[in-house]
Amino acid sequence: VRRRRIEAFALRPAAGRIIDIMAARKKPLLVTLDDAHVDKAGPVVASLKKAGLTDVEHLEAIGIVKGQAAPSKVEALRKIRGVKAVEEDAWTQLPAPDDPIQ
Amino acid sequence: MAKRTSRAPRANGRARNGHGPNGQDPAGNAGQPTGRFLVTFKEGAEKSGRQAMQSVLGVRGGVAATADYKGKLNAAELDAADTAVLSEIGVAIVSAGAAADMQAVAALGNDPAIEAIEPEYFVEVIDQLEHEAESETYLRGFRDASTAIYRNLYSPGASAPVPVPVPDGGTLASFSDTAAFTWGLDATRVIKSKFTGQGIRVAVLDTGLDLNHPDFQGRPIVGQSFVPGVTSVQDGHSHGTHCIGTALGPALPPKPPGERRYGCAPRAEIFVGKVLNDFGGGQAGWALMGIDWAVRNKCQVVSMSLGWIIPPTDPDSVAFEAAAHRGLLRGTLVIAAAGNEGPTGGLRSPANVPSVMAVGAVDNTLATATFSSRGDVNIAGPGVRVFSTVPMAARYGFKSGTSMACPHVAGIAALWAQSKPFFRGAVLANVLMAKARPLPAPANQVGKGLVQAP
Repeated sequence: VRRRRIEAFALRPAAGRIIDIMAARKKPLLVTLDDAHVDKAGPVVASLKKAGLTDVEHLEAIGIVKGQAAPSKVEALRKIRGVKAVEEDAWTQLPAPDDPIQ
Repeated sequence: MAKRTSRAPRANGRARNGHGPNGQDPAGNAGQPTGRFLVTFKEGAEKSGRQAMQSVLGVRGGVAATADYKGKLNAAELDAADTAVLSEIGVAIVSAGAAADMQAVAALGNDPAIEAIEPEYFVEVIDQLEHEAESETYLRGFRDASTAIYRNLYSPGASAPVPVPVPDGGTLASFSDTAAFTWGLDATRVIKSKFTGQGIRVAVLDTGLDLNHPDFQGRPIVGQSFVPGVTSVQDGHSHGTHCIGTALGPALPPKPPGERRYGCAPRAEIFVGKVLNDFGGGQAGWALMGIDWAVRNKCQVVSMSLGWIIPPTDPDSVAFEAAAHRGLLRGTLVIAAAGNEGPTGGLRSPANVPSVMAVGAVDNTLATATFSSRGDVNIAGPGVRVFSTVPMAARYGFKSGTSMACPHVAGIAALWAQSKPFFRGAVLANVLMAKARPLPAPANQVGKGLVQAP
């Protein structure tokens, strides 16, 4: 729904405004904690939230934190102690059920 | 709920840096050769291999074998013997002293009973094994040997499997679906296995399962959806139902119509993780939530017939590698489809990361499927014209793809996991690869070969 709304903006002539909207739009992110913080994740998760990560879900067994943030905040998230990597949460698509190769 | 053995080397939260208090890896030596050698026997040739080792190497202290000690070797026995044979995996460890004569070692490599001779490396150990008291030392030796094999298999440039000669103009094999079973269960020797996956938990992370399918009625099913806004694991696509059928379908599909057997581990516990929506789409984060759920539920095997196409210049996914590696440390092996990008496309993510087992596809002549992605493939499974379950009312259907090869390996992994309580995590991966049937196709297509049931 959100994507459709932004595309509707794209039809408008005010191009500068579109760029602003895209920059502010949050992206789904995957934050991998380093090995030393898998079992001591509390302060790291708190710092991630403080630095702008929202919709936070902590996958405790594997030391991953799912969340969303504006692209402008990613560098700050990367610098937090206990964070090994911040990656974009990518989308995949299976072939249609009747496709010959699955 | 399945009965669990207390001896299983389960990981717990405290496995951290991999160097246990009794670790055999002096700090900083990881990756360095130990001076010892690992000798892998050909299938069924352990006895003649041992004889060859004794005559060629002239080993003084004799050969200590786990088979002679009912699966236990203590440190003194290991030290006293020039050679320790780990019968369970057909591997012998040769001491540095016994291996000092390089010519003799090379001669041994030519013996028909010997598959491979490789240097042993110091490895990062999985320390939870050290706290399973009963057969601690045996497990340590086993673990070191198998983690060394693991390193060899997983490191780029690892030696290719010994090819099986194929007579000119002939094909390696030709399997067919029969009234009783699919060609894939025949080629992987599932139909000859006494194991059923009983007591083993297999999570299939996919589009879900048709919960109304008669072939799964009466089976305990644990389900969880990770698709936002979707609470049921009901499969609206058919990909997931097909994969779950291959990994976990019943030994005797119920009548009517009473179809052929198509499932590898008919008594394993079914964990359905819905990480793709009914259109077959999904976020990497949903799949990671599924892995986290499987690890927390102590699933020994995770099957992921899905992947993300990545440009070859992109770095590997840190998140999937961390998730799979942390899973291995806790006894969960993640298995993924290599991808269907064919000879020019690389592996998909997460099959491309080191701690995920990557599965390529072969057809019923054991030739590599044309669509199967090439790269650091670990093992192959049946993936062309695979018969399995699809949502009702069609009930059954044929599908092709590395997506179909992956659940064959996952189901067979459950059989191996049932066969020994210490076949978990990286050890389970090693056993699957060590016991695979070598194929003439190169390793970048089929890895160590076609998966075989115990």
